[in-house]
Amino acid sequence: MKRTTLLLSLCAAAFLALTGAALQTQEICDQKGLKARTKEKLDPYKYDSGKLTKVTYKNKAQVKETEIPVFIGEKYRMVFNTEALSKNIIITVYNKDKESKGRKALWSSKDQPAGSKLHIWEPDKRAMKYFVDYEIPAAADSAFLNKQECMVFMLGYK
Amino acid sequence: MKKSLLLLLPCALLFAACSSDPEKPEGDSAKPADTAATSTEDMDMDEPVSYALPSPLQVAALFKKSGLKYLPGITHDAGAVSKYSTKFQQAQNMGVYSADMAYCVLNKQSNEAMKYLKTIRQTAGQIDLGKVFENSTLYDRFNKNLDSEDSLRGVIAEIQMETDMLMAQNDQKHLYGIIYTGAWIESMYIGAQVYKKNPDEKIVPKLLEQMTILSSIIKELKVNESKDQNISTVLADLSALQTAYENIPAIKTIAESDDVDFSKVTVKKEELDTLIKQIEQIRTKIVNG
Repeated sequence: MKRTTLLLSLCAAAFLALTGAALQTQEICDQKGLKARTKEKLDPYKYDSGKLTKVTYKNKAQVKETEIPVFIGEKYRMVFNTEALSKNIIITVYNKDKESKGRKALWSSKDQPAGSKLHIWEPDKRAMKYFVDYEIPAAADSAFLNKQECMVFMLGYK
Repeated sequence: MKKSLLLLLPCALLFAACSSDPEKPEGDSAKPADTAATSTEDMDMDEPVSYALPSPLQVAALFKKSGLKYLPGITHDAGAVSKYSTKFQQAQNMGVYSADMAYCVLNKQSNEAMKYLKTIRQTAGQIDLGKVFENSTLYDRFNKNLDSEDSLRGVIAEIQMETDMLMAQNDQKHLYGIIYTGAWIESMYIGAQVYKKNPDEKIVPKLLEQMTILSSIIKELKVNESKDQNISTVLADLSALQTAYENIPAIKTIAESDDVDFSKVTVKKEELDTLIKQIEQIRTKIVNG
């Protein structure tokens, strides 16, 4: 009886420790590491703005858009870090927002080497605004449904 | 013994369920079905748009490039920080002080800048953004590099980055637009005051160009309007300013353009004065709390 109680106590303790660690990992998303690696890729540009985007997989694919006003004639660099994402999110930069007809894609992660998770893009044309669309795939299976992950975007200027 | 084994079985199953690596892709993530769909028909397009607005430091740097001089006494009183009692007032004035700090750093007024940094640190703590300065060397690095403009710019950029990321991490995204409104209005106010006291035509195109950000600020605030009842008031003021700007005949002609040379856009003095007056009124409301 004593041995059974001991085994049960050990099991309970290990279970609590493991679930606690799993929840913490989900919350943290290694944001510190993501930030540091993204900022490193901004260099020699200076940090201007950035977004830590929490991605939650749903039953349906989704599009999240970020509008980025910029100043004409200034030089910019965009860095997208998707290292912490399990699924392949397509990032496309457009000249107009998602409601506009006839908008033009200026850059897309689809055209980058397969497997690359850190993308850098420097616009070469004058503009007043950019629109970044993140195409997030559907969860596809229950393991991904409502699972939360993070990605980081930074904009730098010279 | 058999009883012990029976008890261990559910434990082992729980271990197996918990020990899968959450970072590891589950299933075959390389399959095409796992990548984002390309057709927008079967996509949820209703997610609210987010905004990445230019930092107060970049705004101040652009004004500086156009010849904006330092005028003592036009920035906000750092001592006024104690009178802001609500999170909305504190957030807006944290933005005001951020713009003041950027203006001081770019004009080598490092002691003034240090005062603003102290104020920003205090306000950040009040609106649950204190972590930006906790466990980091940002404040000390600023203090140790008062003679180096480049280093101070680097520290300010880092403070901005940490603040941007922390707001997302803490689900305090609604603060972004509130803080930014304070920063943007203060930058415009400084630009306008310098222009009024020392009229230099080179500043006018910069003031007009900065107005192009306003539509994005308004949209950012609208997304979060339900999160704080005070947002509606500032939205009304900013929308009135936007309307005044869009009604300027020279601005109407460039409304649909993607590429504008603001140095070739001519506005009348009365039109500019109207904009400046509205900016001053909004700034007064913000700093009065």
